[in-house]
Amino acid sequence: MLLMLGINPDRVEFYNLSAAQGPRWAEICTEFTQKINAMGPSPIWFALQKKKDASGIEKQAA
Amino acid sequence: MAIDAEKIEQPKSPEKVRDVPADWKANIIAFACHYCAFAAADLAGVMRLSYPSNVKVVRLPCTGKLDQIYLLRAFERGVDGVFAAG
Amino acid sequence: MIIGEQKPFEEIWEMVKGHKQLTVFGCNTCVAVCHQGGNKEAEIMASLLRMRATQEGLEIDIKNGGIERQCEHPFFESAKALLDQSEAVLSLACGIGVQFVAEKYMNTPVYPALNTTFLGDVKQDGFFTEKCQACGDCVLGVTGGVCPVSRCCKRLFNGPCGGSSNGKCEISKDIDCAWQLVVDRLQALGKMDDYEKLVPIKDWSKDRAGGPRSFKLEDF
Repeated sequence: MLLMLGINPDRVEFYNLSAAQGPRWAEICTEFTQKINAMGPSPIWFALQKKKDASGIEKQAA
Repeated sequence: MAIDAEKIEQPKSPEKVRDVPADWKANIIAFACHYCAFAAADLAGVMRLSYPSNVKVVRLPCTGKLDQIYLLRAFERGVDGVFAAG
Repeated sequence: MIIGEQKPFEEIWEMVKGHKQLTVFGCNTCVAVCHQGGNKEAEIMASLLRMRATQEGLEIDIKNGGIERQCEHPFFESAKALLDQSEAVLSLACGIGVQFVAEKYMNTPVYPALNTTFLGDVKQDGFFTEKCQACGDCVLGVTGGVCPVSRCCKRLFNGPCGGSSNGKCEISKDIDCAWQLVVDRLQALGKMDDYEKLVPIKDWSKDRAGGPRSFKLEDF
């Protein structure tokens, strides 16, 4: 479904861990953040950013 | 042979490579089950383990509560990555 | 029930992208069972379209909604406000629902998000098979409860053709020979005598050949 929109499906991940796995949680967070950092912002983010910029310019003009 | 080479090729990301603005920080949402992952995150906090601040946790009563629409809504708002843990 | 399949996303997008406002409208009966057109699917479709619009830099106000059935007037009451304000509607109902909405809202463009495919059953979760063609003249009573109109590729009425082998149809190895199923059933019922009875030529005027059909209850 995401692929259809040009979003990399790797941006979604599922993990399994138990309540006692505090360190694993930190590990997952670090790992996933690194992955996303490597992938860069999502295409939607770019589009939203562009929209924001555009409305900002309009405001300035007005 | 050409067909074989195609098969081996890794599936490419559909996203275009673009310049990343300098002030960009990954925005990640984690859907966590109240009873396992959320407790684990709590434990990580208690143990004072450091993990990236990019991850925002959404607590669910159970990961079974997770719905496709939650993931889509996150992406709709420009989130860069979503993971579910439970 | 009625089975439908969602159209390719690109096709849907091409239909609706020209509008400034769009309501994605689900139908929570048949097409919800096949996970293609229910109110939940409408919500997902709306989300996908919103993301697509954002990426294309288009300002489209996309709402989503839905009702239990798009083929009956009373169900529309709860969605009246939503539909009255809509510039265009993307209906996730079967062809009946789409036409019903179109007839109800004369000045609102209505687009189909689904291809209505057939009348079928839920064989397993997520697996649907065709079982009826609505031919208007049911013969299940003499064929052991197996429909030769919808399940025999050639719609044969008096036994299998020569293409039946090992219980499968010559059209595809995945299709059961309907007449094999008929014989199996009749044998199990001890009614093989029925198999020998010749079925007279079917009255196809009760099928679509007689034009669009309708049915009216006199006491209403």
